[in-house]
Amino acid sequence: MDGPWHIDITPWQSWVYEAGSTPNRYAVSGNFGGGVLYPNGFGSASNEIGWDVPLTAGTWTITLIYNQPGAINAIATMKLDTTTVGTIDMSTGGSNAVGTISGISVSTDAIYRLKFTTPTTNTANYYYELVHITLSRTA
Amino acid sequence: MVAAARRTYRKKLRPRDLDPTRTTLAGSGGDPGPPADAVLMPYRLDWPAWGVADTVSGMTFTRTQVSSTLGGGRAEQASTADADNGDFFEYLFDVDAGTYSFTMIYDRDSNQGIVDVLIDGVSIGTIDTYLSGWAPNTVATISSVGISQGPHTLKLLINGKNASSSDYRMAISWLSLTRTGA
Repeated sequence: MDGPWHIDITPWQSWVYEAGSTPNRYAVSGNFGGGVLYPNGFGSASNEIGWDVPLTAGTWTITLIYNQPGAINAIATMKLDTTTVGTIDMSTGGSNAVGTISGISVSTDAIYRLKFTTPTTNTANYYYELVHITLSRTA
Repeated sequence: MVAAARRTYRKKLRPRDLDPTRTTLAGSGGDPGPPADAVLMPYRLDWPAWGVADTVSGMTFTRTQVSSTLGGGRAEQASTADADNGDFFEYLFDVDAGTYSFTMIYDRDSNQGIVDVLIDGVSIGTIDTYLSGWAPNTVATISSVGISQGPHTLKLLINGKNASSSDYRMAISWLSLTRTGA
């Protein structure tokens, strides 16, 4: 089945699902795309944000661009529907840091809900600043 | 392995409702529209060049955040030393068959080369990105590009340079393919 091989998501533009606190938009001239999405306060382990994405069967990579403004960021757990596909520790990297989760095997053509969640952390907080997300099919 | 999702394309997308070229709804005696099980592709692909490139050759694919460029950044070689004739990066994309217009937003500068735009290895046009001084957010369009249905590659290849340019750099901010005809 035909389908996109690249799906670019500008997190601050829109989302279709949220749990925990409603995320906030902030214009930042020093970021790709000119803005970020960030949580209330220092975030929460219960925060989740979701986007619906059409994925064809194959192998996919998720690339997450984020800011690490200090030692306050959570570990991002990325899910497709309810399945965890990997984690990205956002506690290092500085501005416009890049994290990837590769080798994600999708077996069925469908619309999935990509979820960004922050259930764990290596710092004392669960903060995040999302700049950009790309899903790219590699095989 | 990701479990089967709750719903498929075919259930989710209803071609007769979504096809923007339709002028008559199915069942009203006019164009019946695509088959009921057709899969619709977007009529416009629009992506930041600095996102993710699928193939890179001859250069280090470098994301540079630049506040003064549309989209807040650009894809380029890591340095002047990294820039050579023949450098390229490439994206995979998938479209329905049709005629498309390709648009590239890029920087011009005194050290930049000529970008050859290739789909599936065939050149659809070249863009000389040289200018005597820096000029971000320049727009180039290549129209009337016929593309068949299915997956393809879009390659941005440095193919020579203006005689006045000092190097083979490129700085690309944003790319789009817009369907303009059947």
